[in-house]
Amino acid sequence: MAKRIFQFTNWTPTATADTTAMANDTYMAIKGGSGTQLIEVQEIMASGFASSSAPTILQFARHSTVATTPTALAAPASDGPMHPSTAPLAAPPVTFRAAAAGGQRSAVVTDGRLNMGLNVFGGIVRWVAAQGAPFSLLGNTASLGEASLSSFTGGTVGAISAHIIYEPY
Amino acid sequence: MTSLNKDNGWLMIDNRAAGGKLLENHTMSCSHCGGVVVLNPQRIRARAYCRSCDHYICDDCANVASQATYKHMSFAELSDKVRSGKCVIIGGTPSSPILKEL
Repeated sequence: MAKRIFQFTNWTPTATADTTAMANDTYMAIKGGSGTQLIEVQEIMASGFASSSAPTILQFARHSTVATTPTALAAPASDGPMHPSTAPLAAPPVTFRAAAAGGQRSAVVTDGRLNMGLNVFGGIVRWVAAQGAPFSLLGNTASLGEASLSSFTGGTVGAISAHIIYEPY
Repeated sequence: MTSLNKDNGWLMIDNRAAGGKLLENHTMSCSHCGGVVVLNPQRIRARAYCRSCDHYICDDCANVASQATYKHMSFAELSDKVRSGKCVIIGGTPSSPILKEL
């Protein structure tokens, strides 16, 4: 397939506990477009725009309860291919920042998750996977089919811009 | 011979603009659950290793793999089964997904 970039500009994550539905526009979530789709997340970057110190406990984690009825992306968020010649996908992955009921970050201690906490007072966090060793999502159901970039409980959240580079199969 | 560290990712957290520090760390993709964990550079005990995959695995998957009833399945194998339509994931955890044969 082809790499795609899902980005959301100038949004503020809200500190949300695990297994709690996330509020609209406080997360960036990605979900398989079908029950058999494999998604490989290859890079995540976030940069902070707060005007004062604001330690934000960002995490990229899978969901134990997937969102229901995700809302189609609207500006300033976007999701598109990195290469202009990329063919449309038969089952495009679902990237969203709002839903009828938000997804719930898994609290299971056997879940791998990326801690990407930073001080969004000018802070930058960037994770890059090695070639062939991505963060993978499989299908579109719990607990492997949906994940999000969101803020864990605690800290002082502030505005960020972020992108997620991924490749669906 | 290849290095087991060849699949390490890279995490950078730059808080210097806020008066903090710059952190750079390796991350590891687990060959069993497909998740990524940040490696603790000060860790002394051995990292969990799967001889079947010839790859490091995360501590949580190592715990699952140590169970007597464990049946080995790498994330690539799981992915192949699901993508080929032979089964679907109906629950469980990434380290121990519950599959339903179709």
